[in-house]
Amino acid sequence: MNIIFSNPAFLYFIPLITVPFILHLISRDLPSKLFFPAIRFIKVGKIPVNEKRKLRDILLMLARVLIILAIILICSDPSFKKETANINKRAVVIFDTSIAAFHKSYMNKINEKLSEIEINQNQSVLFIESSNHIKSDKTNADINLNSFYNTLQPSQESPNHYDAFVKASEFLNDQKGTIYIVSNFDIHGFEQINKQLFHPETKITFIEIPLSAQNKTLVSALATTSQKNKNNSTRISIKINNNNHSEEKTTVKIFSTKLLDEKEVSLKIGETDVVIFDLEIEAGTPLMVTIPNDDFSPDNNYFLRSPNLATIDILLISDPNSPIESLFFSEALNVSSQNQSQNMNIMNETPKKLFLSNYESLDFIIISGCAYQLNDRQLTNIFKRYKAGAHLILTPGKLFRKNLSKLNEYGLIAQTPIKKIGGEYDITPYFITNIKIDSSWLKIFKKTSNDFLSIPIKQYIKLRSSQSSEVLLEVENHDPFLVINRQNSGISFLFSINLIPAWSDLPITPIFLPLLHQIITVTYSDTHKSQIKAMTPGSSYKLVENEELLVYQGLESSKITSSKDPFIKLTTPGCYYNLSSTLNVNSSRDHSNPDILSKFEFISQVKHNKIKKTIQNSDSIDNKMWANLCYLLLLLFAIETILHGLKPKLNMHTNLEEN
Amino acid sequence: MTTDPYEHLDPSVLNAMDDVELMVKSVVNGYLSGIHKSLYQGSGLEFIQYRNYTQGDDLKFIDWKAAARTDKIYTKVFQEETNMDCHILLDCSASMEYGSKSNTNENTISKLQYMKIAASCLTYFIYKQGDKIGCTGFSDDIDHHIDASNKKEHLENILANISNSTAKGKGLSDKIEDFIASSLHNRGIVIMFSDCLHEENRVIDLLKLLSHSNYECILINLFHQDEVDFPFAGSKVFIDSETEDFIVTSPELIKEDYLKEFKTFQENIRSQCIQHKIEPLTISTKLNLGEVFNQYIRFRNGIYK
Repeated sequence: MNIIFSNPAFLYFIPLITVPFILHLISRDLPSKLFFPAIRFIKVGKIPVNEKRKLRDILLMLARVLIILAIILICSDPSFKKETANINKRAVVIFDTSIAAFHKSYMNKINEKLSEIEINQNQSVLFIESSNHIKSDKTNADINLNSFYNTLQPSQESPNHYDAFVKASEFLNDQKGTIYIVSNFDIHGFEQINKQLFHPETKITFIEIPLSAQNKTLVSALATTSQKNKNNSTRISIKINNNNHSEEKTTVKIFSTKLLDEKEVSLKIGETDVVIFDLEIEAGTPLMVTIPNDDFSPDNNYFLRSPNLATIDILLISDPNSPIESLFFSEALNVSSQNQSQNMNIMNETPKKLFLSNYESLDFIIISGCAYQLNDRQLTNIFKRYKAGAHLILTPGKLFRKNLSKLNEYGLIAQTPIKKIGGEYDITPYFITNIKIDSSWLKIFKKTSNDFLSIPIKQYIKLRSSQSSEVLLEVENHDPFLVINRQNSGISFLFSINLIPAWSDLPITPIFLPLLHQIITVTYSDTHKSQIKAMTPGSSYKLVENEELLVYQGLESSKITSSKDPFIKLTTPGCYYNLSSTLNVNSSRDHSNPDILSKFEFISQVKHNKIKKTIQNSDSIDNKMWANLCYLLLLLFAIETILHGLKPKLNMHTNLEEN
Repeated sequence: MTTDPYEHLDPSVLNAMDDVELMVKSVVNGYLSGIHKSLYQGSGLEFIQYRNYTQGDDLKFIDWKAAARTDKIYTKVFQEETNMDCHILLDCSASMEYGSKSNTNENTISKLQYMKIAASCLTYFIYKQGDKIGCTGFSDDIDHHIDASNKKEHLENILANISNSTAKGKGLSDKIEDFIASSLHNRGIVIMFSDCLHEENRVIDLLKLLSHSNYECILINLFHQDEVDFPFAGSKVFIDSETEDFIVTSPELIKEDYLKEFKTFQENIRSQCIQHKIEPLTISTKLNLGEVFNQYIRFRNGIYK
């Protein structure tokens, strides 16, 4: 007979049995000495009564110990099972020959690991090949481990661990045994073995066939903006690695709803290369990358999607009387748009021809030294756009003061021009000395910040700071040079100089272009963060609260929403998500492998029934009876504790009278 | 409203008084004033006072001259002349120590202290009555022995010896008995203070012997209130004060039997005393001294009636 505990965790409470011991030692009545003359009247025959009391106390303490022990044992749910003659003589070996077996080294590694499977000749062994179609063989004189291994065939299907476990359970028949599971455990299932299907003392050995990420052909796949042209384009950068491939040539294909592009790659063993596809596709288009000679599967697919590429719409309002300034702005923006990853749509206007209603969306409005030429209606519309999220870049003009009150009314500028000062170039030029280098707009100038010192400021508008403004650049006498102000979701940038050479040399210095680009891109990216992310297979994505994620699995999409903070893992085809109870999956179609989910539900059901069956077959006492007994003992214990623990003297006296 | 006439004779109060002589005087004089009318009156030589004639008085004691002068009838009161030796025996065995603070951890009066107070007061009381008073204290051996006399210096000597008595030893022995028997010759009264917790009947045997020697014996059987009530609780180790034998037990369990045994013991002592014409007086340390004096007076009157 063996005792098996269903809830062995309760055995950790066994030290509680020392509590009655401690209570007994603490509360025991140590006799006090008394010199008493009339001792002769104390009858000797009554002395053992005290000993009886001691004995009773000890018995009481032991009873309490036994009660606690009984409660612990009840909670740990022991059961008795008879040993059978052949319990140690059965073993099951499960080989995972699912999709992972197509890895070129997988089968060889299984062969190397066969030595870890310890099977005696006396044991009855069941070999199971776990693929879509279970194949099993009981050992006999003709079949041994190696011969069964030779029959293994890689499958393109998911592992059928459910059927494998059921077969193993039927073979072991609720008896002790040994189970070996040989798998790469790259996909979920085998490590989540339902142990309730087996005898609790069944030894389960996991033999892992490691397939490291380095052996994968595709190292990474990334979708970014294409540099090819200004239209909506996606650049797919696929990094592949030829590790242990015999063939040097492979073809990488990109699919959407059809084959979009393909490239042939020639790689020697150990070499890594990056294959780039520039595709003119809509933002957010699901894509599939296929690499025929991948380590795992000739048809292995990787899924990603193009990022949501947007164009920054910039309205440049320039002074027709000062063409050089508008020239500096427009050229700088064009160069920035061509060289950088962001698309910029630059629209030029003059104050006279400006009708903002012609522009549906504007991300930036640049007013280049011509604010004084704008009428009230134009300014009002500009301010509306500004408050709605369009950002402003302003440079002062000749008659900057003209619209000063209007500008200040809308909080467009935080400073009030006081007077125009500045030294002559040949006498005392000013230089930019104070740079708020930690701001996101100026971070790139960290290494070349000394370049600001080479910009002579010949004249500038002296601005007065306000509380809501932020000064990014200052000239050497601490007058603001570039300040920003925020109004609702809009951000305005105000320079204290015009871009004409009479004011400063800024436009012709190497700093101007990156400074303007930073102002535009950083401001835009801060306010237009993409809600759609390109992800490569195997990558992980952490859903934030109430976030909705569209996951493309092949050409099918699944919508995953989170109520709390689940962590999901995008996996390769043939696998399934690491689902949790907090994750709701609303799929346009069922999962790519719905059978697996349904089988897991079935396992749960089988598990429940199995437990019931085990209880009915065992010799253990019915749980209800245990519970009733437990409650009865607890009640007795409580009553006894109250009577003996709280009122020992009274109780003793009462007992004496009863005796 | 009733008041205790012997309230001032509470032993716990008297125990707090340091001056023994002052204590005994206050006790005895206070007691005597309370029992004025019961003084020994008789046909002795020493005139004490006049008092109004009451029906039944002997006509020979009427002072006729005074009656002629005042037209009121007075009766002469004389102090009775006695020639009685009174000897006090003090049992100073270790068992008498019970009740002291060191013994019980409670601020109660011990049997020894009670005995000292009672014996001192009784000595002074007897001295005031004009009788000769002697005293013998014994524990393992004779601690002190003073022959009977009615001199004042003698009284002071007795009081000092009583006051200096300490409890030790097992009490009565053959040697002590022989000494006492050989020391007391004249007719008189023997007052013995003891808890009688000696070997079986030793106290009775001694008093029986003295009784046969024409002594009138009073046994003041003294117990501590704890011995009477047995108020103990919890587990106790009872150690015999004299033999140091011990018993570990729970008082609650044995109380009933103990009280029964103790009562039997007291009745046994009393019956033996009566049998051998010994006046028994069982008192506890809770009892005030007035009872002791009353008992003594009753006994004294009984002898001379």
